[in-house]
Order: sequence, then C-alpha cells, then structure tokens
Amino acid sequence: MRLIDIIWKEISLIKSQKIALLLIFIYPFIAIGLLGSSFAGITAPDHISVGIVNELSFDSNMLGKIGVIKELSILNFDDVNSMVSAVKRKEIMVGMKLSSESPYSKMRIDLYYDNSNLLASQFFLQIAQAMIRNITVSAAQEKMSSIWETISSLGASINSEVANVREFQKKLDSSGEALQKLEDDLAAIDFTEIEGVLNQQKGAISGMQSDSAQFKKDFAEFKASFITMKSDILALKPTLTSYKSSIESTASQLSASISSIDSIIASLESVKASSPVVIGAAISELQKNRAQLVSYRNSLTQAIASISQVESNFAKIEDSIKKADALFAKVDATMGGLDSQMSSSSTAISTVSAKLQLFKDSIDEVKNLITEAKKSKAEISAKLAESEQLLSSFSIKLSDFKKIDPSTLVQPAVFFENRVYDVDPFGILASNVLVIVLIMTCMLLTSILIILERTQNVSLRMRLSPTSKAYLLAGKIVGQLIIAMIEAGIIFGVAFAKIPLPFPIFGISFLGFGLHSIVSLPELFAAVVLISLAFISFGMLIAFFAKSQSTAILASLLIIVPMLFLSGAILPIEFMKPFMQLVSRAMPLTAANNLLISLVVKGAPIMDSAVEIAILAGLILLVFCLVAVKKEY
Amino acid sequence: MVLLSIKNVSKIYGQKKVLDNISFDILEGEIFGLLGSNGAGKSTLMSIILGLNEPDSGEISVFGSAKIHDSIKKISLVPQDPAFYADFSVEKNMHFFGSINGLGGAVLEDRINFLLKWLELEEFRETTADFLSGGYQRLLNIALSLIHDPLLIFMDEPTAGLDPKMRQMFWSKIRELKKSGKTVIITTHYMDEAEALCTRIALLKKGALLSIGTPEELIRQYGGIKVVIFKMEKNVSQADIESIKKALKQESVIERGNLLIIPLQQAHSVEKIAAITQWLIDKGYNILSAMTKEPDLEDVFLNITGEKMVV
Repeated sequence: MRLIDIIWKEISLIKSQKIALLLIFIYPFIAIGLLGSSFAGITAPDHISVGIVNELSFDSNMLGKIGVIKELSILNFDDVNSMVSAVKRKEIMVGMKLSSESPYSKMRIDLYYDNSNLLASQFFLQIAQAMIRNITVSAAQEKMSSIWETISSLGASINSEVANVREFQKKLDSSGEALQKLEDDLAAIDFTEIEGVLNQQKGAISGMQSDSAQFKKDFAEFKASFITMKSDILALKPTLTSYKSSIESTASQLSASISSIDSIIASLESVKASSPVVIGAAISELQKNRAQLVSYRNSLTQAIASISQVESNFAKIEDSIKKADALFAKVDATMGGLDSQMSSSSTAISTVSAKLQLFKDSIDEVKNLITEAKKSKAEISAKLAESEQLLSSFSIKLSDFKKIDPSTLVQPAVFFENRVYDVDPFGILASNVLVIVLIMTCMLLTSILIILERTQNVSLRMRLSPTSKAYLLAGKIVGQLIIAMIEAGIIFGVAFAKIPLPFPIFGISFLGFGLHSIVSLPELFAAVVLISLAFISFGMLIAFFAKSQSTAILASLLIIVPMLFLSGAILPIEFMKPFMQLVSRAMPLTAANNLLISLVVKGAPIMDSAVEIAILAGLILLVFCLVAVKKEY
Repeated sequence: MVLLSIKNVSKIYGQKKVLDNISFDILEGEIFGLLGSNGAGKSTLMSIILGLNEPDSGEISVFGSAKIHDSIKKISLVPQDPAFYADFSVEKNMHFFGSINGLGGAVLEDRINFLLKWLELEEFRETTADFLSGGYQRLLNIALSLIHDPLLIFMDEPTAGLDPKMRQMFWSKIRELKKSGKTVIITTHYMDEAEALCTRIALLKKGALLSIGTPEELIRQYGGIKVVIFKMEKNVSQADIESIKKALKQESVIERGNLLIIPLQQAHSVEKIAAITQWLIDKGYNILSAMTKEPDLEDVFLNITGEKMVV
C-alpha cells in the first residue's frame, strides 16, 4: 500500500504541474507530428539531381539509359570543375564523370559527392551508385543478349544459306537439261541446204534487185517527166496561137495610135505659132510618146515572127512524142518479164525464210534460256551478296566481340568515389558535436538561470538597482558566452590537437585527433559567438514563458529534440517533404550546423553563409525586442 | 521633510479596484507602518512606490522627484522572501549586489564588513546562503538591501515567521536604522510590531486608506474601551451583576463562568477598577485574579473595519 501511495504521489505531483503536464502530453504529439510530417511515407527522395561530364569519345547507350531514370534529374556539365562547384553549391547531389578507353573496355564512373554531411552524402552517393549500377548491369545484360542474338541469328542464317545452296544446285540441274535440249535442237538444223539456196539466189537476186530497182526508179521518173512535158507542150500550142493573135492585135492598135499621134502633131504644128512654147512642149512630148509607141510596135512585130517559128517546130515535137509513147510500151513489157523472174526468186527466198524461222525459234529458245540463266544468275548473285554481307557482318561482330573485354560483361563499369571537400569526416562530427553541446548548454543554462534568479527573487533586486537592464543582460550574455567559448575551445582543441603521449594509454598514443582544417580562426570565433548568442536568446525566450525550471527544461527538450531530428544531423534534410525542408532550413540548429560545416569542413568564407547568419541574427533580434519590452530582463 | 508623497493613487486590476484614491506623506526619519489584511493593497502600493508598477491615477514623488529612478540609489526594499543567490556565500552575495548598486573597491569592502558585523553575520561570511537558518537568511536579506546605504527602506513583513528572539533583534535593528536617520516603511500584519516600531501607521482595507496616525492617536480615536477581567472563586450573582451595571451606567457586564468581564471607558478607568474591586470584596466575593486589557491596534482595526485582522 505504501508503494502505491508513493506511486500515486508521484503521479499527483506531475498532475499538479499544469504546464509540465501540458508539455508531457503535447510533446509526443508535436514530436511525432513534426517527424511524421517530415518523413512519413518517404523511403528515399523523389528524385536526385545528378550532374554528368561525358568524356567518352564514342556514343554510349549508357547515357540514354541514365537519362530515362525518372528518379534522376540530369544536368550536363562541360568540365569536372564546374560540376564540382555545383555539388558544393548543392545544385546537384552527386556528380558523375564518365570515361572509358574504348567502347569495349570497362567504363570508369567517377562519382563526386558533398562529404560535408556524414549521412546525406552517403545516402545519395549510395542511391546514385545503386541506380547507375543497375543500368550498367542492364547494359551488360543487353550486350550478352545481343551476343546471344547474334549467335542465334548466325545459326538461323547458316541454315538458310544451306537451303539456298540446295536451291542453287536444283537450279543448276534444271539449267543443264535445258542446255542439253538446246544443243540437240541446234544440231538438227541443216545449214548446208540453206547455204546452197542462199548462194544460188544470192547472185541473181542481188544483180536483179539492184538493177531493177534502179531502173524502175529512173524509168518512173522519166515517164512522169515525159507525161508532164507532153501535156505541157500540147497545152502550149493553143496558148501560143492565142498569144500570137493578141500580139498582132496589139501591134495594130499601136499603129493606130501612132497615126493618131501623127495627126495630133500635125494639128499642133499648125497652131504652134499661137503658143510656141506650150505647144512646142506638147509637140515634143507627143513626139516622145510616138517614138516609144513605135518602139513597142517593133518589138511586137519581132515577137510575132518568133512565135511563128515556134509553131513550125511544134509539129516536129509531136512526132517525137509519139515515138516516145511506143518506147514506153516496150519497156513496160520488159519490166513484166523481170517481175516473173523475181517471183521465182521470191519462192526460193520463202523457203529460206521458213528455215530461218526455225532457226529463229531456236535462237529464241536460247535467248529465253539465257534470260532465265541470267535471272537465275542475278538471283544467285543477290543471294550470294546477301550471304556475303551476312557473313561480313558476322565477321565484324565477331571481331567486335573479340575486342570486348570479357570482364565488362560481368562488371561493365567501375566506380570511384571522389569527395569534393578534402576534409576528415571527423571535422563534420566535431562541428555537429559543438552545435549540439552549445544548444544544450546555452539554451538550458540560460533559461534555468533566469528562472532561478526569478524564483530566488534576485531579479527583484536587479530591477531596484541603479544598474540598467541592458548592463545586467550584457553581463549575463557575456558570462554565458564565456562558458560557450570554453566549450568550443575544448571541443576544437581536442579535435585539432595531436599531442603525442609519452606512452600509450589504453591503446591511445595521441591526445587529440589532429583534425586538419583551413578554417579562418577569427571567422570561426565570430561564428561560435553568433551561434552561442542565438541559443542564449532561445534560452531567454524560454525563460520568458516558463515559470519553473522543470518547465524550462521540458520546453527546451521540446524544442531541441525535434530540431535535432530536423536539422539533418541525424536524417538527411533531403529526405523530408519539401515544405518541411524549408522549415528545417529556417531552424536555428540547422542554420548553426550549416554555418560551422561551411567554415570548418568546406573552408568557405563566413559571408557565404549569409542566410544562416541572417536566421541566427533574426532570432537574436526577436528575443532582444521581447526583452526590451518586458520589464524584467 | 517629506520624503515620499502619495497623492490620489488608484490602481485597478481588471474589474477590481486594488487601490482607491490613496493619499499620504511619509516624513524623513520616521518608521511608517502600512497595516492591513491580505488583499488590502499594501504590496501593490509598495510596488507602485518602488516603480515596479504603474498607478492608473495619482502621483507619487520620492525625494521630491516624480521619477523613482532618479532616487533609486537612495531607496531599498527588504522583500519578505529571501532575495539572494542561494549558492553564493554571504560575502559573495554582498559583493555582487554591492557592485550592481554602484559600490566597489574599498568602499564596498568597508560596507560589507560593517554590515556583517552590525547584523552579526561575521561568522557566516563564507557560508553558502542556502545553508543559513531562516533567521540569518532574513538578516542577509537585510544586509543586501542596506549594502548601498539607502535613506528610504521598505520592509515587507520583516519579522514574519521569526522566533521571538529574532523578532526582538530585528526590531532593535530597525530602531537603530531610525536612529541613524533612515526612513523605514514597514508592511506588517503584526499589530504589536506596528505598535512597537511605527511612528505612524496607515490602515488599509480593500485598497482604501481607513486612517492614518500615530499608534496612540489611532488607539485613542478608535481603540475603544479598556476591559477588566476578574477571575472569581465563585460566580457572581445576577443581582450583583445588575448592581454593577447600574453603578457603571452601562449594560455590558459579562459573566463567563467564573470570569467577570467589565469593559470600561478609558477616562477614570483606574478609579473605577479600584471601586469595583472593593465592592466585590465587600460583597464577600473572593477575587482570584484581576487583569486589564488595554485597547490596541487590533481593536482599532476591528473597530474601524468591523473585522479582525486576517493574516
């Protein structure tokens, strides 16, 4: 019973602490709520940003395969330095450099990762490596598959080639039979008779044909011309007669005209005295005209004489024409005899033609045979070309296969890890430890001591003293800072020092861990001061609301534990949901951790962490504003 | 000289008026008592005077200035609860609070030595404050409040919870402070303390100032009557009681068992007591003992407020 009473007393005590009670019940909800909101349902980040520098001198399907992994978002870089800078700026999680001596050798994959965080870096490195390894295995499998396919297709192709050869053999056999038949047909043809007939007719037909043809041609021309001439001549006679009559008439007219002119002239002569000039001119003119008319008449007279002459020759011509007609009839008879000779020759020629036709048919058969042979040859050639191509490709593939290093089929790629920061992981740990120690001590101590002063009523004396609140606060803060500096000094002292012991103690030969860092000491000092101030402010903020030390401790834990989980020191920030990543980055613990890592691990200047500095300074400012408003310090 | 002047000071918390138009002055060199039950407004008034709180109306001037901070070095508070660092030694506490009150060097050392001696804390110089007994913790409290030699000292229930010897010691120290020219303002529930120490007293009830004056003035004005109590061997008869009433011309003669209780006006009370005593003897009564109860501040409070002082 006593034990039960004691247990009940304990529970009652807890129940009596209202705020502590609230914290006890709220705290689990907050802790699980925060962590659940951040990490629930997350097994790995949705995607990892990866940078690639491709130093391969050949096309590789590896890049294409990497590009289709939906969990990777790829950024290409021209050189390793820019990719490493991107890793340092956290634009990408992992950088990869692909290189290889040849398409047949193992691929070398250099992985570059941010080693300023112990956990996140390894997470992403391993995840990226696992993804890439899957691809390389897949690539090796593809290679093996292609080799197997090639071998399988080689087997199938050989079978098909064997079938082709058999077919070629069959075709060759059928070609031989046809050729034999052709030979027999050709042998049956009697060329001697054909040659005899041809020789006989050759001379006759040859002479006759040419003479006959020529004669016929000439005669036809001549006969045509003669007929034309005859018609013309016969047509000419009446024309001439008519022409002659016309000329005579014209000549008579001209004579009449001349007589008229003479009478006119005589008339004019008679009257010339009245107008000598004019009439004289007219008489002259008339005389001229008369002279011309006389000339014309003379010409006409000559023409009449000529025509009479032609009329007399015409009779002679008519006689000649009659003779010619008789000759033409004779020639026609001769031409008839010639035709009958040629007809017999034609019969002989028909015989020859028939024989020739037989020959022609045979020749056609040969042609067909040749055509078929050509076709077969083309087919065979094509098939042979295909076979040659196939065998060549096989040969090339086999040559390629020979070039492949067999070990690439098992391990197509070799991975090399490269840290972007040349730092001992212990440096990261030391920074994390310092931040955790500072938050625990600064926050807890500050809040506890403020509450202690309040509960011990000392704050009342402070308020009633002439010393200003600012002075009192400054003294408190500096006191806490000194403690923080001592802690930082101890931690970094042990981290950086490496003092040899005179003799090993429990296997330890050195005091300190000899951490190497290029951190600037003044900047490190400033950072530790800022971080300590921020956590001291946080402690003051807690003391602002907490009324007892137990509440202050609980509240501090309520704040510290979730911040620890969300700071990335235990689980990578990148694994959180996007909104919680923002929340995490705004937390003072995260900002403090990142600031120290940047200085100690990355060796970056302090102003590179301007965001973190702003977050910490913001917290300090907020708390100081609250303190300024509150009457108690 | 008026050191502290309070004029029409009122303070309201929510709907409750905790101070209602309080006005009085405190003179230099006096020990002034603020008397009242819990919730009378004593602590609120003190916090306002000390500048820890702001009045809703009224004015306060300390050492002639409305700004308490101008006179902060001359003022001190001895809080009711210990106000020191429990983990520091006596001397370390004194060093620290002397420092924040503007003292240092030899001046501070002398002051510490003086106070340790005056308050009989010498032997506890190096003792951690938490290990002191309650009484010595109170003395340390006083020492820390006097470290800067203030002129006006507020003491909040200075002897609450102390044994009689310690109380007497505290009273003597307070009187010494007055003798040295300090002005002391005490809040107390103890009427005897207020009567013993205070030159003037202000009576407060529910934020209102009921009366202010020297203890004698208040008792005289509001104290009421003396009471004489006779312890008799046997009960006094009713007839004799009536006779006493008639003789005294008053109705309030009370018999409680073998006690005869007779309230008397102050005037000629001694003669009346002698006469009653004689009469009882003459009547054959045996008087075992007689005692008189003088009116005190408690009676004053009761008479003014109609209530007993609630501690």
